[in-house]
Amino acid sequence: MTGAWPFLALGLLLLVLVIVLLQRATPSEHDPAELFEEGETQAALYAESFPQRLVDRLFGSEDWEFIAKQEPARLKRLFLQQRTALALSWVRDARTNATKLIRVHSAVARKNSRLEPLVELRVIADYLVFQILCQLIASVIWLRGPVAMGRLVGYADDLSERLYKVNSRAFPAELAYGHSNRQPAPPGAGRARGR
Amino acid sequence: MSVRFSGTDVEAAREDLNTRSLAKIGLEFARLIYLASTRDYNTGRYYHDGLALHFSEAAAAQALWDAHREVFTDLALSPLEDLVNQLQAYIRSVGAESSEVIRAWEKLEPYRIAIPIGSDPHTISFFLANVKIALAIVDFREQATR
Repeated sequence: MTGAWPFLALGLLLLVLVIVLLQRATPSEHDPAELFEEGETQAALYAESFPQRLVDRLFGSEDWEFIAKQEPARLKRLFLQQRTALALSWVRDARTNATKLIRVHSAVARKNSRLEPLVELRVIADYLVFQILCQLIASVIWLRGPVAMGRLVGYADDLSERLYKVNSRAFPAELAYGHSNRQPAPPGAGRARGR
Repeated sequence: MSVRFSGTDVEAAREDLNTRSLAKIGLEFARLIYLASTRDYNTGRYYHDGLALHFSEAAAAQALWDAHREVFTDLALSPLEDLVNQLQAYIRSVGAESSEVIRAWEKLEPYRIAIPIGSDPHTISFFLANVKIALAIVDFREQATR
């Protein structure tokens, strides 16, 4: 019986994590449906994202290989300091965009009488994995800078793109985009492919 | 007052700008500074007498803005090593003592004025960070050669 305690604790922890993340994904002061109707959430979807070329350069290894050859250590420190700030800003943007997407999803889901539980579960699972992955990327960046992280960032971006696609399929187009012809940006921002 | 111009006018003005002006400027960094200098800092409008004479003033301004953004983005997202080499060559071409130019650039950050309006904010941050790093490297290189 005592052997089951760690699993129970882990399950409880995961449950708490899901509840906390879902609460964070829901605006506390306003009804999401109201926000949606006001067009605020719709506008939030069109967040500015990092251009692909920038993501490739930021998380690629070319610049680091060059800076590693430079003599004084202060140059390497300056490089890491500058790039770390930018890379963390990418992580912040990606997480914020994903959260905005989930908020819109929640708002639309509440109005939808034909919810598909499997799709909803998949959205939540993708969102959780994406947030955990972003946290992992941020930790690695803190520890050693955004050096040669193209593969990890690319994986996060694939995941965010999947999240975006699942959401797009679940949204009725007229609710999601209103009268706008623009397409919302995927949360992973730069659509990184540089690995 | 809005002036009408066609996309063909802008394309022709771009071509003219490339062949007559930009092609003669060897350094990408110098091209950026040149294009930024064709912009009125108070209004943000671009002027070029020669281009405006051949094409319309509006087409010339659009061509200059397009070229400015293109050169900026290419330079901002180029490999750091290229940017360092560009910056070093540009600083040497200014005609003043390199150390004096580097100090002024570090303190006044005049390269901020070279950023075109409407550029992606993340690319701007990346460019500014890269120029800071590049200046430190060029400074070290110049000190080593003295």
